[in-house]
Amino acid sequence: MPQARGRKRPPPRRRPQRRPLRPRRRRVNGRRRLLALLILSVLAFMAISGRLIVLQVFDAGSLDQAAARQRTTVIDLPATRGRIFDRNLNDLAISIPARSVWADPRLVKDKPGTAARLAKVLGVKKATLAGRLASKGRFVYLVRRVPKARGDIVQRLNLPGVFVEGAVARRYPSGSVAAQVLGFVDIDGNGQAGIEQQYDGLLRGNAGKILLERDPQGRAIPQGRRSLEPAEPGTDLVLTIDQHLQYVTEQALFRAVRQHKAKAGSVVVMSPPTGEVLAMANVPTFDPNRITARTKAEARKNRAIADVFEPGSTNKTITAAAALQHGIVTPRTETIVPDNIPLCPEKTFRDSHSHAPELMTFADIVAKSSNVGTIMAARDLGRERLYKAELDFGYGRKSGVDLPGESPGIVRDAKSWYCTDLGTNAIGQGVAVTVLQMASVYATVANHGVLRAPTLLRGTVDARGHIAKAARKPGRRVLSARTAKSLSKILEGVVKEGGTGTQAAMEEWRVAGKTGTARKPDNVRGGYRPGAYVGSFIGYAPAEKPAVVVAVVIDEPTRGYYGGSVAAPVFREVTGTALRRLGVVPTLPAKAVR
Amino acid sequence: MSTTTTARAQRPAPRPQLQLPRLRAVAPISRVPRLPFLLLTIAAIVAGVFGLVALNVSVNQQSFQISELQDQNRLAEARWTALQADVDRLKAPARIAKAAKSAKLAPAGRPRVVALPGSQGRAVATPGAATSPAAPGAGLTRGDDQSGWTAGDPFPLKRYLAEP
Repeated sequence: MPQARGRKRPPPRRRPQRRPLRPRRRRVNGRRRLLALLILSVLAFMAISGRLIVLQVFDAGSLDQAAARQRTTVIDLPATRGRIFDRNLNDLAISIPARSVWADPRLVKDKPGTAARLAKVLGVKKATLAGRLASKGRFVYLVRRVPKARGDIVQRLNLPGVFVEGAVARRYPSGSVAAQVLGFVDIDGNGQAGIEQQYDGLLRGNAGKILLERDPQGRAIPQGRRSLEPAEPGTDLVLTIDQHLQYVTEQALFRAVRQHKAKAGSVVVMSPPTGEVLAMANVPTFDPNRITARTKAEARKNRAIADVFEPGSTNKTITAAAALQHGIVTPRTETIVPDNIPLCPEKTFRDSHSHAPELMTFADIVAKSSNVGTIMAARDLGRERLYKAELDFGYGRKSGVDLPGESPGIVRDAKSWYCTDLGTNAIGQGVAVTVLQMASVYATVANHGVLRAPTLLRGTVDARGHIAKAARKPGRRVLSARTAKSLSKILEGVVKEGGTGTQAAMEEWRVAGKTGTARKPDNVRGGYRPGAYVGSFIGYAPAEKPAVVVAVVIDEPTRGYYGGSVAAPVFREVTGTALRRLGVVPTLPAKAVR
Repeated sequence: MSTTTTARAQRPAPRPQLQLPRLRAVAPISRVPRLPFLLLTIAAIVAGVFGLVALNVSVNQQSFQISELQDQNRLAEARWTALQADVDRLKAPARIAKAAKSAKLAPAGRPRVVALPGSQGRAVATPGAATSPAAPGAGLTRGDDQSGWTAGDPFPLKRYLAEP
C-alpha cells in the first residue's frame, strides 16, 4: 500500500520481546503443526507397520529358522557298530564308548601350557599336541577315540579352546586272533578289511540325533523343543570261526614258521558238510587294536585267500579224482613206473627220488606222490578232462567266501596249453590257487563229492537277541560218491607207513590227506627260484566220516621244506584240537589203556 | 373446524386414578462387607498363581529328573559295555594261556574216552600225558606275543580297569 507523502512516518513498531514459553496463538500455525504431526505419525506408523509386515510375513520363515538355529542344538548320536561273535558267542569285535578331544587353536591362549597339561592326561607327547595346537584352522583333533575316562578328565580341566566329544572305539578283545578274518576299521569307524569291510553295511547301523533348545549358558531348556531320533545299532554277526581253535591254529602255525625259518604260512580249517570255515590263520599277522600306517601290508593281508601258490603234489588229488571218475584207473590198477617220463621232446618229468622202474598200484602212486605215475594217468586222461576237473573243483574262480580281496587263482585254458602243461598241471605246477581253494577241494572229497562254498557267516543277531541263520548256497556235485570214497581210501594211504605224510597220522582217528612240495616261480626271471619251496599238507579226519578239513601251507621254509615234515605236524595238532573241541569220539582202538 | 370438533368428540374418557402404595420410611439396608470378598478373590488369585507355578516347577523338576536318569542310564550302559570288553579281554585264549603258563600249568594230553555199556562207541583212546611245555603260546618270547597285550595299546587293560 503506498504511503501518503509528507506524512510523518510513525516510529517503527518495536517488536515485543518474545516470551519463550508463550504458546503461539496464531491459529493457522497450529493447524499446520497438527497436520505435520499427523502426517509424521502416519508415516512413522506406516514405516513401523511396513517393517512389521516385512518381518512377520516376508522374512518370517528365515528369521524363524535363524532363531531356531541360535537356540537349538543338534547332537549326533553315533550308532553303535554291531558286535562280531565267534560260533560260541565269544566277542571277537566290540564297540565301546570313547572320547575324542578337539581344539579351536584361536581360543587357546596358553598353547604350551595347554599341550603340557593335556599330554599328561592323554599320554600323548607334548610336542605332538603343541604341533596340532599350532594349526591355523578353527578345528583340529588333538586325539581321537581315547578311553572315556581320560576324555572326562580333560573335560573337567575346562581348558579354554579345548573340547571333548563322544565317540565309539572298536576293540578286538582277543588281540591278533583272527585278525585278517576280522579286518579293522578306520578312524571314522568304516570297515577297511575282512569281515568289517565285507559286512560294513550291516555292522554300521544308522546314526541318530537329538534336537534340543539350549539357554545362553548351553543348558537344555526343560520345556523347550526337543526331539529324539534314536540311533539304530548295527547288526551283530555270528561267525563260523571258533575262537579257541583259531588261537591254537595260529600258535601252531607260528611255531612251525619259526621252527622252519619260513617266510610265512597259512592254515584253513573247514567243516566239509557245511563249508563253514572254523579257523583261518596267517603268519605274519597284526593286532587290529594297534593298527597304524606303519603296520606292514604283508601282515594285514589275508594270504589264505589273497595269495596264490602252486599247489604241487596236493593237486594230484584232482588228477586222481578225474582219472578215477572217468574210469582211467582204479585204486588197484598196477603200472610199471620209472623215475622219469619224457612227455615232450624238450621236457622230461622226474620223480623227486631216483628209483628203478617199479610196479605200483595207483593207490601207491598217490601215497608215494610219484610225479611220473601221476603224469602217466593224466596222459591217459587227456588235457581237456584234466582241465575240466580243475574247473569243477573251483580253480580259476573265487570260492565265494564272504571276504574281500579274494584271488580267483590262475589256471590256463586247456586250448592254450603247451605240450608240457599236461604234466605240470597233473602234478600241481603251472596252476596257482589259494589255500582256501585247496581246502575246498579236499572238503569236496570229504563231503562225498559235493562241493560246498566256504562261508564265514553263521548268522546274524537281531535286536531281541535272536540268531537268524545265514542262508547257505546249495552244494554242487563234482564227483560221484563212489569216486570220492575210493579217493578217500587212497588218501588214507598217504599217512600210513610208506606214504609221504606219516607225520600227519593220529592215534585216535583215521586221517586222509596229501602232502605237497612245490617250487616257487621266479616272477622276475621266469622259471623257478632255486631253493624256494612251498610245503603243504591238506587232509581231513576222521577219514570214514570227516568232521574237519585242514589245509596247512608253509611258505619258503628253509629248515626242511617237504610238506610231510614242515606242514604235516601242524595238521596233526590242529586237527586233534578241532576234533576234540567238536566232541568227535576217537575211532581207532587204543594201543594200550592204562 | 370440523376436525377439531371431531377430535374433541373422540377424546377418551379420563383414566381412573391408580391406587399407588403409600410411601413409608423403612429401616436402612445393612451393607455387605466387601473385605472378605476381596480377600477371597485375592486368595483365589494367589492360590491359582502359586498352583500354576508349583505345577510348572514340578514339571520342570521331573524333566530334570528324566534328564538325569537318562544320563545315568547312558553312563551305566557305557560302563557295562566297557566292562564287557574287559571281560572279553580277560577270557581271551592268549591271556588264559599266559596265565596258565605263569601258574606252571600245561594243557591236558589226549583225553581217555570210555565206551559205556549199550553205547554205540567201542573205541577207547589212549590217554596222553600233558605235553608241557608245548602249551599253546608256550615258549613265545616277548616280541612273539600275539595277544595284543604289549605296550602301545591305547586301551591298556590294567590302566583302563583302574580308571573310573
